[in-house]
This record gives sequence, C-alpha cells and structure tokens, in this order.
Amino acid sequence: MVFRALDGRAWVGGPRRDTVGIEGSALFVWLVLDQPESVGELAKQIRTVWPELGEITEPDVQAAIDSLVGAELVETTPTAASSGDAA
Amino acid sequence: MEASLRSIAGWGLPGAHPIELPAEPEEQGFATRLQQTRLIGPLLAASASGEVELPPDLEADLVERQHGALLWCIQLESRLLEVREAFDSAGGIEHLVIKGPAIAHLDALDPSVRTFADIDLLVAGRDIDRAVEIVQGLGATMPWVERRPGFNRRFAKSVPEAAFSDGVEFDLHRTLADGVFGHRIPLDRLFAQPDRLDIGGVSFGALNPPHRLLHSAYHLLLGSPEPALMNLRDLAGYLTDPTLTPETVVSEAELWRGTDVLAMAVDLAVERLGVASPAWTTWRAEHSIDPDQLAMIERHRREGSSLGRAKLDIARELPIRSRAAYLFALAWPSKAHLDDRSLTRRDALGSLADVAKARFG
Repeated sequence: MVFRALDGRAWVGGPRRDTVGIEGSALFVWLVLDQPESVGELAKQIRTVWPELGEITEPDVQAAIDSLVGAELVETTPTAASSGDAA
Repeated sequence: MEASLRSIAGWGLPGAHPIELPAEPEEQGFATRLQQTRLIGPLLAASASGEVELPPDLEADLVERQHGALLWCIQLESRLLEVREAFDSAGGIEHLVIKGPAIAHLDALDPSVRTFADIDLLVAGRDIDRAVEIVQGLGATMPWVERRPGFNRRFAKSVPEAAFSDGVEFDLHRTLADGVFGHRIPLDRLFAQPDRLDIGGVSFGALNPPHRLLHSAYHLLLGSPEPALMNLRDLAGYLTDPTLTPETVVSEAELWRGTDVLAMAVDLAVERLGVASPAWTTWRAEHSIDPDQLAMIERHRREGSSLGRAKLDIARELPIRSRAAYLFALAWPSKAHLDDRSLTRRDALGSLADVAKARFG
C-alpha cells in the first residue's frame, strides 16, 4: 500500500484499490500498527506515543479498528486471549 | 512574488534566506504559483514548524491543493507498482526509479513534502523495447513510434511519454540527459551501484546519492532554459548535504565528462537560492569552464530536445557506424514515425537541412 499524510490526515491507496482517507483515532491506530497487536496493547501504545491526546479507551481503539477493517486496510484475527488482534 | 517563491524553495537549507511572503499572500495568484512550482509542500512544512505564519484562509487553500497533489502521487505510485508487477511477470526489466518518487522517498523531509507529476524510470537500453511493449500492454499509448527501429535502444534519451487513459504518464529513459551529455554518461555504473527505496512494500532501485546529485545538476541545467524552482531546491539540498562533498562527486562527474555541467548547475543553485555550501563554492572557484563545453551547453539549453545543432554534437562522439545510423535516422525517419507526428518527408529533410546550414554554412 502507498500512503501520504498531511495536516492530521492520511490517504492510503494501492494497485487495483480505491484510495481511502484516514483521520482521527483510526489514523493513530494505523500509524502504530506495524505488527499484529491486541486492542489493549494498541491503546497503550497510542497513549505512550501521543500522551497529549488524553485518555484513549479500548472501545475507541476497537471502533477505529472496525473502520479500518471496513476500509480493507487491516484485518483482524481471533485469539484465545482477546476478542482479536489487528494486523 | 518571484523572490518570495525563491525563499520558499530555499526553506530549510543552510544559508538560505528566511521565507518572505508577498505583500498580499491571499491573492489567488500566489497559491496558483505555489501549486505550479510544487512549493506548497515546503511552505506547509515551514508553517508546521512555526517558521512562517500563514493567513488561515491561505493555509486552508494550500492544504486542499496539496491534498489533490498527494492523491495524484498515490495514483502514480500505485500504477508504478502495477508496472513493476508486469515487468517481473515478463521476466524482469532492469530499471531504476528516478526523479520525483525517488527524491520524495530518499531525500525529502517527508514524501508528502515533495510532489511530482509523473513517473520516470531509467531503463537499461537492452530492455527498453520490451519495457515499452509491457507498458503498452497495460493500456498506455505512445504519441509516436520511434524514428527507426532500434533508435530508442541506441540513441534516444527517452521514449516518448507513455500515457494511460487516467492521465498517468510514464517516462521511460535510456539515459539521463538529451544529446551529447546523455551519451557520455556511463550507464552501466548507474545500474551497478544503486540505492534502494521502498514503495508500497516493494523494493526499487534508484540512483545512488552522487548520481542523484549529478542527475539533478544535469536536469536543472539542461532540462529547460529556465530552471524550475523545485529543481533548484533538489540540487541545493544535495549541495548542502555534508556527505556529498566534491571529493565524493567530482570524480564521478569526470567519468561523465560533465564537470562543466556540474559547475554551471552549482552556480545556478547557489546564486538563485543563496544557500551556503562552502566546499562546493571552493571547488567552483578552482574549476574553470572549458569554452568549447560552454558553447555546447548553451546550444543544448537553447535548443532543448528539438532538432538543432546540439543534435549533431552527439554524432561527433559516436563510433563511425553508429554515427551513420544516427544521422540516417535523423534524416530519414520511418513513414510510421512521420505519420504519427503529422510530418512529411520534406518537413524532416528541411529541418535537418536547416541544422546542417547552421552547422556548416
């Protein structure tokens, strides 16, 4: 996938797919997601990297992941320990 | 306004003047000129770093314009990935990514700062005909066929731009400059010592840093009579990179027989943008430009890629059989080539006669 970022937004495209924009909490999730992680771990990473964002809850992260899954930018895999890892 | 644009082109480079906005920056003409010169990225980056304060309406307008340019870059790189897949499926085409995408990923502060309009690939001469076939197989059309079979592979700087129906254009280059200066470049060296860049998870070859500096100098000086501001910024960026000293670059320029091209390009970048590059300024003070080379460079800049005396300069440096084939192709293009360009045989011969008169008359 190819991407560019500007002014708090990012756009992701690639061969034979539409380019989609990402912003808000979905952008932060996408930026930290360099390997499969649980929702809780992603929330922790976002709080560490961007403490100025305030409290990021797991439901916030889950909603962001759902939107990224809807845009076919990430996929989730079920695990025994949690409702799913995003990759 | 031009002084303001120059100050933006120099932003972030050592010694460059601070950014000066025009008296009325919100006038529509300023944003349009920034877009035309591809300088919106550096200006927004300067604004984000707090070095310049933009009127809110102008900033919103520039963000919107840059957004459009970035979407276009994504479309270009997505098409590049498709072309690469096709190259690989056909058994491989030796190529390097050059100019915009390579600079954006390897040299810019961030790829979103350096936008570009098309995709440029340097293709090994032996592969260029196959590369054209593959790109055409993906739906691209060429404006005209080559002058004579084998001309692109042996003599052309590049194949005429391959255009896709969505407006994406691919420039397939055999060498890095038109005419004699492109002919002199030892192309094998470019492919033998490449840099690497990643686009969409795929690794591409690119020119290495000294070669990128030299290509930037050639493009700046020989690419058009009036240097583009973004090209000045590109070259000034290399000249102020502490790892790209004359010691690491000039010996390569000598192999290209292009030290005079380099010297004149250094003058342009330093004078126009006011950047501080002591090592290059010292080298430049010690380097004298050969009058014959100067005449050749000026001729090249004046004539560009059109058929003029500069086209005969290359003939003098070709082996005799190649020279004959080159001159014959100039004088007697194929009928298909003439038809594609809506030219007659008389037009082609007339142009060459004008050149010969200017050269020998």
